[in-house]
Amino acid sequence: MTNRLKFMLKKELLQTLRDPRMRIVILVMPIFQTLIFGYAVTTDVKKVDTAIVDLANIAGTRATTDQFISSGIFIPTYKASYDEAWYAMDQGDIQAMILFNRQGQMQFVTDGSRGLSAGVTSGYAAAILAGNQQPPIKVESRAWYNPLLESRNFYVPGVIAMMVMVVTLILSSMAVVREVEIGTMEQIMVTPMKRWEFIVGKLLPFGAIGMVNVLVVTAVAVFWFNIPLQGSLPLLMLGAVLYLMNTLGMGLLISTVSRTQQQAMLSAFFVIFPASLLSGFAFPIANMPGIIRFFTLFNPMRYMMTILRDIFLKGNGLDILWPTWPCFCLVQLFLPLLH
Amino acid sequence: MNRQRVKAIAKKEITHVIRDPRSLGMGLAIPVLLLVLFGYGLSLNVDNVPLAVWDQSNTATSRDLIRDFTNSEAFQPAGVCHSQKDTEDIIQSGQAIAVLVIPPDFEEKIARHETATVQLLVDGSDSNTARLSIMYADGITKNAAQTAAMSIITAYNPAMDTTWSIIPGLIAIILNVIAAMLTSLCVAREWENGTMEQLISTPMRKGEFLIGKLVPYYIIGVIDLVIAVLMALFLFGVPLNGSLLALAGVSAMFIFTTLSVGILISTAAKSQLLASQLALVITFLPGFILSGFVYDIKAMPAIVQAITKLIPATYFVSLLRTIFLKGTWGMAPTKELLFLTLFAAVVLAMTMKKLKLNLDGR
Repeated sequence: MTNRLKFMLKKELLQTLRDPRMRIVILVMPIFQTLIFGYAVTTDVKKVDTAIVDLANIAGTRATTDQFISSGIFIPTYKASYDEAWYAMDQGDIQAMILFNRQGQMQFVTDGSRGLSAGVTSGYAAAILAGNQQPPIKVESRAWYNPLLESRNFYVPGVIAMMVMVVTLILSSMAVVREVEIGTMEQIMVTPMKRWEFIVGKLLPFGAIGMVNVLVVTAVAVFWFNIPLQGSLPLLMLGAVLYLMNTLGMGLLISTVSRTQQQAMLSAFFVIFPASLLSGFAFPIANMPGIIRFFTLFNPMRYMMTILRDIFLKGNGLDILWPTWPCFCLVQLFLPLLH
Repeated sequence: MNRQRVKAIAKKEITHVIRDPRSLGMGLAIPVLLLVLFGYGLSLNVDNVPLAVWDQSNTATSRDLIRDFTNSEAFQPAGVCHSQKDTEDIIQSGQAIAVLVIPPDFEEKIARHETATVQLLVDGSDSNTARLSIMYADGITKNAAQTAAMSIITAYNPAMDTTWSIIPGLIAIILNVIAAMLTSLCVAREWENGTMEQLISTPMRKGEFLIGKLVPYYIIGVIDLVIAVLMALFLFGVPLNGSLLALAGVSAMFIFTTLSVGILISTAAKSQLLASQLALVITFLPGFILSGFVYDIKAMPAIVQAITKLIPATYFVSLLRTIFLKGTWGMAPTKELLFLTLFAAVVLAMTMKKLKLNLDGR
């Protein structure tokens, strides 16, 4: 390592970490957020407040109602009329209704304004009612890798990828443009520093900060949330290094084409937002239309998401994950071209 | 409060905005692009789950069952297995998410009117897709026989089109971040570039400074909102069942609230790097994960639920969904409006306290 590079690294680390508030934002906040998000990211539908209106009130309707209640998912409140039940749903007090008319015919209503959980709720209802008959074919299901179907196991590893991108992309996208805006770039230009030394000196400290984040957040996932880490940790770290090269590279690109920090920040957001939503984190990529699925191929977070989830839950090794690595590098190759 | 001075500050800030057409363009174009991209791209529906089949029976009956599966919208064929090892490999590689295993005695049991058991192996790592696949499989084997006895209705969204609930939520979280980001640099930039000293030397007061700073960004925020709502209505066909007035009132308050958050960040941080880092960390991930946009708040533990109550986006997501889809404007939204107002007031009070118009403020 050249002397100049060493000084550059030292300057950058000092500059980034000197402000105690900055230290908190980039090193402590991710832990804190993972702790909160880890509890929030669940698509399990556990308790559904349900209004029950039974105008028939005969043995048959009461038996059906009991079936729903004994499932433990539907928490009942009894209402005297349909209007009352609809009013409660309008107000958002209940998420489902079980309505029996005078003939004892049943209607099950879910609140469709709530997106994902509405579908799951009606699925439960259908399953409870279907349980009544003796079907000719029975399905026995087994879920691998996650036998209890804990949604947390699926989402928490993904939080790592998002968090790391937010922290490192902002840091690197501001890196060059800040020097330009404040005017210190001119001071650097008069030094004998070479281009690559400048770039490496800028990015290496951020990479180190990113790796610290990955390690700490992984530790939170494993030790606090008990997410099973089935695969190899070194492989995960290797994936993280490649991922960081991508996010930092993109950040640097933004930084060199922006003239003010405001432009850089808006551009960074313009990358982070689509990258997160099109990574398969919450919205399955398989369901996206063809052209959007094509866009996701250029999204490094998409690959990181697969790597994290496969290593955490399936314990996949390089033998299965290998197709993602060249993709990473391909995305990486585009960046210098754009420079 | 001197109107003249507020106007002067606002004019200066507007000039700043106009002279940086790229930032202005991004401030206006980002919401549009994101809405188009996500309005078409995002769906929470789970369909076409890749399904592999291990048909040990290999008879007309079993092939009928397989056809029932693959002809349904829920599943699409993704390969054939011939051994236990095959099923493991195909799921591990992600080529199939579910494997239907039909036992050798399948046809005989059906012929004898006994219950034949088939196995569905699913990749549980994506718990949501897994759960829905199991439900779909259950439904297919039980046929639609019992649907006559019960009707399932999805209120406010009869076609169960998740775009309808995604779009209002999306408008909320995009505005949430954009508004906070727009203002998050506007005070820090003055300190960093040294122009704050020039402002300090004028007779301007704190309140005038803040209002003047907020005006241009408020205009941008409102334009963003109008474009977003028009797109929701005319491009994506989301119905506006509630009143336009309610929508305008709630949004006006929300934009003001998030702009204030940005100003507070900017005033407290005094460095653009820290301010932008803070703005994104505070608004983007919490808005995305904790606001109820994707994850149901009711399923979260009590303490996390309490935290979601402190995030303005939570209220805006639920208000927009209520106004667009439910069309009600009862007692509940008043509570939420009250919160937004209170939140903005507290944030602005903190900003006033943090903002020091003298050189010691550095």
